[in-house]
Amino acid sequence: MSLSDEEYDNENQGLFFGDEEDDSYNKDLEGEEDNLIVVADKEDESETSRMFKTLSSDDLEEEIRREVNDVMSVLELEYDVASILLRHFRWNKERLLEDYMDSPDKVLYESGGGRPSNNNFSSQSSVSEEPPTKKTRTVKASRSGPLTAIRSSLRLNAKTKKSKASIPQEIVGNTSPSTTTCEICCDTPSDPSSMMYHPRCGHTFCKSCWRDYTRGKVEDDRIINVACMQESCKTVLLENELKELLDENIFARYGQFIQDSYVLHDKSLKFCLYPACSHALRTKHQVNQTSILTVVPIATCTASTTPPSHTFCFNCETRGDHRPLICALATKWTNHVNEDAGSVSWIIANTKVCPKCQKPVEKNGGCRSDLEIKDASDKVSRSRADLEKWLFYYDRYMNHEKSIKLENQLVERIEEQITSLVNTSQMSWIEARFLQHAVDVLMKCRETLKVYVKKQHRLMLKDVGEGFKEGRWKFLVSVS
Amino acid sequence: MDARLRRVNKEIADCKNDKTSNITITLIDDSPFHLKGTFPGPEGTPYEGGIYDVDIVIPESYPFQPVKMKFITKVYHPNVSSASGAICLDILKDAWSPVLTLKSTLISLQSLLCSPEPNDPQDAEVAKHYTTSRSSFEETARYWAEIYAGAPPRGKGTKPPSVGKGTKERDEIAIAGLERAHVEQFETLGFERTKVIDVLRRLNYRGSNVPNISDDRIVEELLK
Repeated sequence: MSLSDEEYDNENQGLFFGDEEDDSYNKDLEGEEDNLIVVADKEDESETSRMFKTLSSDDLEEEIRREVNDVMSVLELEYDVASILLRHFRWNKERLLEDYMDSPDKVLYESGGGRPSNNNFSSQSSVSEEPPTKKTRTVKASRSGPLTAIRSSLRLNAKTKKSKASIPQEIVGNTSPSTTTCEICCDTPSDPSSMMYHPRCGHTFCKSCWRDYTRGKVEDDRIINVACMQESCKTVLLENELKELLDENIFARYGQFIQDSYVLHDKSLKFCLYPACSHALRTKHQVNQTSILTVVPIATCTASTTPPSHTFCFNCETRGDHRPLICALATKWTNHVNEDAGSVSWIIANTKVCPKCQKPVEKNGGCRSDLEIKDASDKVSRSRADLEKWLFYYDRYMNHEKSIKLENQLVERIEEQITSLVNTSQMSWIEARFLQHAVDVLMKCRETLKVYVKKQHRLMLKDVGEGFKEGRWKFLVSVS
Repeated sequence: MDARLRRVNKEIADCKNDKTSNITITLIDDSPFHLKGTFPGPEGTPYEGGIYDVDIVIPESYPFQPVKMKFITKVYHPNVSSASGAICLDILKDAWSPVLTLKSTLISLQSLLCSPEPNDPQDAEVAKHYTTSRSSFEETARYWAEIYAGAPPRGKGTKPPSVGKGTKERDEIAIAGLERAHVEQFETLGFERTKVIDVLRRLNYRGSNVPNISDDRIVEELLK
C-alpha cells in the first residue's frame, strides 16, 4: 500500500460523505434498526481510479514475472523452476517460502519442479516387490497400492527399467536412444533422434504423442503444471519444453491460463466482467465482511473509453453501478426480482383485483371472499399492503429495465442516424455527435432511476416521516 | 493405422501372451474399443475364487484420456457401486497416465479389491457397513462373490449359500448384509420383508450400530 494514512482517510470520507446530500440522508436514517444503509453516493471517476488500478494483459505478465523473479532470487532457483513452484502453491509466496525453508527437497519433489535427481526424495516409489495378492500389502493405502502393484507386475516390457522415477538422468539418457518404439502409440519412428522426445526427467516417448498429450492437458483440461506422461513421474514440463511441443496459438493460450490462475488466486484482483475485455482490476483497499456493509466498491475498467463503460461492482460481481444500495441489499433485490418475476407477471396478466376485498382474483371466476372467514387478521392486511408497495416499485423497476433494453437498440440505430445526418446536412461528424451524447445521458439517467427505485423501496420499509415519504412517492409517480 | 487402434491391438496381444497374470481381454461386439476384461478375485480376500468381468470402453483420445471401466459382475466393495458397478479409483480419473495399459489398470482394480478405501467411497452404504463391522462386511462380500462371481462356497456362515452362479433362490437378507433375527423381528410386526431389508440396510443396522438405533426409529421409517 503506497497511500499514506492521510490520503486513506480522505478517501474514506469521500466515499461515505461525498457531499451535502449525503449528510442529509444520514440524518434521515439516524436510529435505523440496522446500519446497513450508509449512503455511498456516486463519486467522480478520479475516486474510482484511486481505488482501483486497471492492469492490461501485459501488465499482468510483468507482475507475474516480478513475482517469479522474487522467488527465484530468494530461493536461488532457476526461473522456470520458481515459476512451477509458485503455480503449485497457487501463487501463495509466503507459504511457498515457508515450506521450502522447511524441506526444499520435499517441495521440489511434490511440485514437480525438481531436477530428476531430486526425485530420489520419493521413498514411497521404492517398490516393495511383493505380489499384489499377499494380504500384508493391504495395510498400505490403496492410493499408492495399485500403482505399486502395477510396477511389480509389469516385468514384461522393457518398461521396468524406466518405470522408476528415481533413475538419474544420465542412465536414462544412455538407454533412451535404444528405445526406438514409443510405448504409447506403439510406433517405431524411422528417425529416433529427431522424432523421439524427452523432457528433463528423461522419459522418452515419440514427439507426436507428447504433442497430443500436452495439447489435451493445456487446451481441454486447462492444466498449467503439465506433468510428465510416465506414470507416477511428477516432473512438470518447463515452459520452453511446452513451447517446443505446443502449437503457437495454444502456447499463447497457455500464457493466458497462467494469468487466469494468477488472478483467480489473488483476492485483490479480478478480471473485468465485460465480455472480450481482457483487463484485470486490482483494488487498493480490500473490503472485508464488515466494511462491505458501508462501502460499495464500484470499479470502472479504464480499458474502454467509449460507452458502455466497463463499470461493475468489485464485490458482488454485478455489472453496472448499484450505488447507493450496498451489495447485500442489491443482491436481495435482484433475487427478489428474478424469483418473483414469473409469478408477478402471471398475476398481472391473469388476475384482477377484487373491488371488495382487494385480493387478486383470477378472471375466470368470482371472488370467494364471501365464503371465507371474515376475520382477516391485521397481519394479513399488512402483508398485502407491503406486497402492493413492493409491486409498485417492482413495476417501475421493470419499466426502467425494459426502457434500457429498448434504448440499447437506440444506441445501435444512432450510429446510422449520425451518418445520415452528416450526409444530408452541412453538419460535420463531430457536431453530429450530440446525438450520441444525448443517448448516453439518457442511458445514465435510466440506470440511476433504476437504482433509485430500489433504494426508495428500501427507505419505504423504514419508518421515515410521512411528508418525506409522500414527496418521494409523488416524485416517483411523476418520473415514471 | 490409427495410433489408438494400433495400441489397443498391441495391448490385447500382450495380454494374450502373458499367461501369468490370469487376466484376459475379449471383444464384446464388433468394435475394438468396447472390450471385456476378466480377472480372478485376489487371494486372501472375500473375493477369492470369484471371476470378475469388467466393461471397458476406450475413449476417442485414448491413451491421453483414461479408459472407462465398470464392473459387470456385482461386487460388494466400498469403492464400487453395488447397483451400477461404477468404480472410484484415482488412476481412472486424474491420476491416469498414458503409460498405463488396460492390463495394468485391471491389475489395479484387482488390488483395489484387496485394499478398500472406505474414506473415499463410491457406495456410501457399503462403506458404512465396512467401517461398522468388518466381519459382517466380509461375510456379505463373500456371499456376493459366491452368488454373483461364482466363487466356491466356503461352507461356513449361518446358512449354506446356493451353488453356482444364480441357480437357486438367493437370500435377500444375506445380500443386504443383515442379521436374520433382526429382519424377522420387524417382519413379525407385519411389515413386508423387502421393506424391512431396505430400511435396515439404509440405516446401517449392523454390529455396534444396532444399540444406537431405536426400534421406534425403524418403525417410523417403515411407516413412511
